[in-house]
Amino acid sequence: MNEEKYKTKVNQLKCELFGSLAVYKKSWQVQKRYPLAMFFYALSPLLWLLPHLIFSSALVGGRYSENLYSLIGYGDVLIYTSLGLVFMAIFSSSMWGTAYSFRDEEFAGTLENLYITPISRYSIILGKTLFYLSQALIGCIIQLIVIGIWYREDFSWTNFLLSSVFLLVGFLLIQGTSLTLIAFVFWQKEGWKIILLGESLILFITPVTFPIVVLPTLLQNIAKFNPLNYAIEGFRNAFLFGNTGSVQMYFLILILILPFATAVGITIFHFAEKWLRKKALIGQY
Amino acid sequence: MVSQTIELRRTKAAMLNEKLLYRANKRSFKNSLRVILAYAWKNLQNDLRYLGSWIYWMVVPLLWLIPYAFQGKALLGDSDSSFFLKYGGTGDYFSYVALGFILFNIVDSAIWGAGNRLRWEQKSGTFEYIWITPISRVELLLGSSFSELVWIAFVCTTQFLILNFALSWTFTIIQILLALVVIIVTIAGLFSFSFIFASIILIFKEPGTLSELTDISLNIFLPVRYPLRILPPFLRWIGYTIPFAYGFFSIRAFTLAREYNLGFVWLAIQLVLSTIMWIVGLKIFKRIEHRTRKIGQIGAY
Repeated sequence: MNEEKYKTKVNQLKCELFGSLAVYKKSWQVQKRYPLAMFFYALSPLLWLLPHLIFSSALVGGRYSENLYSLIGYGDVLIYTSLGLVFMAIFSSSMWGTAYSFRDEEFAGTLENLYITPISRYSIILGKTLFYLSQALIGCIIQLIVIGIWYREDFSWTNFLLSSVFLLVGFLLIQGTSLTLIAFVFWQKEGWKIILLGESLILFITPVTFPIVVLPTLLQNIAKFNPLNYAIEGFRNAFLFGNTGSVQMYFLILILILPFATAVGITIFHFAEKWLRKKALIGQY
Repeated sequence: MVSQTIELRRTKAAMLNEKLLYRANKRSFKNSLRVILAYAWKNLQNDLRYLGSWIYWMVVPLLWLIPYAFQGKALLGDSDSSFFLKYGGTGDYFSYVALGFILFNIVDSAIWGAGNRLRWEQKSGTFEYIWITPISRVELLLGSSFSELVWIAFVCTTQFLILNFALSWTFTIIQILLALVVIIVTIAGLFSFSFIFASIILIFKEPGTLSELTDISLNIFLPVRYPLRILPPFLRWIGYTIPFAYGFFSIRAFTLAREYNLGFVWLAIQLVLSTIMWIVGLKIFKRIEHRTRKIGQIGAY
């Protein structure tokens, strides 16, 4: 009897996974119809990186900053800045993409059809997330190749793999935020201005292009509650310095935050979706 | 007898229609101005319904500036950069970037606002109604650019005043007035850019990707965050051909570097380039509009 139940569960899980893959495949098929957009998504992460890097280099008049070296023990401004920006790009694009995945279906007039398919909402979200992640990864790979060329003298595959673990954990961490944002967009329909404002404020306390130590004490204290802080520092330190004590500490903190952030996201999405369905606001334009 | 009466009425109606069309199409400066202002006022009325949006776009771009201050503190540990002084005319990199951000609002507005206005009319379902009114299409474009002018002049001026207060800029009244002149001339250049962009929209319809690509590319080629002189020569020369670049040069020459003669030279170059771009933009728009109508794609969604 137990074995029967187990088999049914496995089959259900398989079906959900197939559902997610179908959503993923469909999203790519739609995307392929717009070759200009695909070309842009492949090229834009690099173009987006350039003005920030040129600015960093213009500040110090080259590639090396003594001040940065005295703060963190590493002075190459191009590598330091671009690693932070690579992480932020992957975070930002998959977060925005997933947050607006249902809204895009609403615009296309296909949300209702998608919503009544006999699979879980989370499987649909997973399919969409995988699509946006794979799209962001193309850009991320191009960026990392460029960084690898700059950094070729000190490049280490072990450090690279270790930093990829942080990318993966960071990506899983985003899912909680994305689920909360899906609920918000579902409710507000056009809530992008609030999300952008939130993102702009979070950037003050996120070490994308500067270490947290340069912030005023109040902001440094607030930054301690920002999980992105640990993800970016972990990713960058792992890439530059390898398996150090601080990298292990960042990893431990992220692993502890991960279940909590995901649970909060799932709970918010669950209740928001239930409330919206009750109020018949799901398909509203 | 009845058919004759009907025929007579038809002829009279046709004559009246022709007379009305003739009067409506009679071009005079006053008529054109009335059309431009009417369309601009209609757009402004729409925009004024979202007052929060005006405040939002006034404040949020200023928030994007703050990480640059922290980045400077981390990389330099100082508020002055000798490299910026050598190539940009001022060592105060934060004020340099702040002025760049204010002027980039105008470029953004040309891409996303005036350039995309026709697409928004299409999405609102009002495009065909506006397009078949007996007025020149160029007047429509000028109207949409004019409403953008009001909105972006408000955003730029308030941002300039906020930053003037927050960063304790010690500009004289003459410097501030000259900066406002630069803002207005740059906005006039915006008109020509929006003609070209509106033409692109008539062809591609959904130009989100193209708008983003243009936005990102202009961020590289224009001296928003850094002086153009530090770019490799081939990238630098692309920047020099964009009229907006001279707006960035002249506003910084008038305010931060206090080099007035150089500022006027940049302003003059900007005026010449903007005029050329106006002529080219108008020609491109007329040709593409004609082509799109000929192939029956004007209202295609």
